[in-house]
Amino acid sequence: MFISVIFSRWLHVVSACLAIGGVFFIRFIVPRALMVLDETLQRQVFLAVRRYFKMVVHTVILLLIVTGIYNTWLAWDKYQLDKAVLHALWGTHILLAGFAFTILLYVLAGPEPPRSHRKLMAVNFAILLLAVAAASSLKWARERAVADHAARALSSDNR
Amino acid sequence: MNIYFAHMLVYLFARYLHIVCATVLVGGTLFYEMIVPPAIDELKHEQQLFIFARARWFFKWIVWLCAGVILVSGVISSYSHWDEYNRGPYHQAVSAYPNAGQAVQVSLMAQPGTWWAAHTSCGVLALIIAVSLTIGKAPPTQPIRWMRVNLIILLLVMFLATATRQTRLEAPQQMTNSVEPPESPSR
Repeated sequence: MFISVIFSRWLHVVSACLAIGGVFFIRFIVPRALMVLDETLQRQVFLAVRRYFKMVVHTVILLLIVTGIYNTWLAWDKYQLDKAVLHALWGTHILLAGFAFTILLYVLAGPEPPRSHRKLMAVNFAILLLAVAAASSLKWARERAVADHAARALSSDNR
Repeated sequence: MNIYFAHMLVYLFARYLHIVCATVLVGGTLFYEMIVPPAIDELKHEQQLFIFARARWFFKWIVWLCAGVILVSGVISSYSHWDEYNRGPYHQAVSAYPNAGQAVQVSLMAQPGTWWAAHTSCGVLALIIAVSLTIGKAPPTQPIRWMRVNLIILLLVMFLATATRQTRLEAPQQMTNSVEPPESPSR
């Protein structure tokens, strides 16, 4: 159990790294790096980068969903300890992740990117950062809820 | 402002920055090493070098910023959990258990401090490699090989971080489980 918990969490974090770092790189680094080429070549290389990134993104989304479901299933009992806070944060994390996946799939669909792909990728990067903030707060709130619950159990046992 | 609240806010913010910088660093390295080379494979060698050099120049500032933030936020997070990491191999059983106060030996692998030390040392090594790859006008010889090595270390660092967290959370529970119940007093 110990290994499976660590492995699924690790896989979730690595997949998130690929998604966030990839979005950052394709939106902010690649266009600047390609400026040395002429316009036709720029477009050709950008489309090639996009094609490879698309393959990575599809795998990453699948991994994030599968490991996310498993992690939620493992921690579901803990989410009942402070429903108001934990469910709100968990819901926010899922909602933001859903938005980010939808934008990623839309921007990377088809052989050509949509017109607003730059703006959408920048928005998506911000959404992904917010999803990380929600996940980070959720983990902190969950640990605190578990610690509070244990402290309450100890004090009631001692009485 | 309440001190407890301020401390929690700083800890949460540091944690958030640590994760964000790590994701940008690891994801950027993966992208730089795995996606860019096949995408520019058909270009001339000079053009490939130009693109790599420009990407390296822009990525350099990100790497330096992320390395600095990771170090500072890592120190803050370690300080917050220092008591848990700094426990010796012997712990006192928790007060709710019948053997309260009894010394219990915990294996090396179950001590969060062991995992924390591994995570920190590997993390610092990965940061040194990442920063050294971006220092100077020209990249070192065989930069892609170095990036691959660094990528493996970064993935290991993340695994160690996950293991540190898990052992930290499970340590009190294992401590309680490892205490044998007391013998019933003979009358």
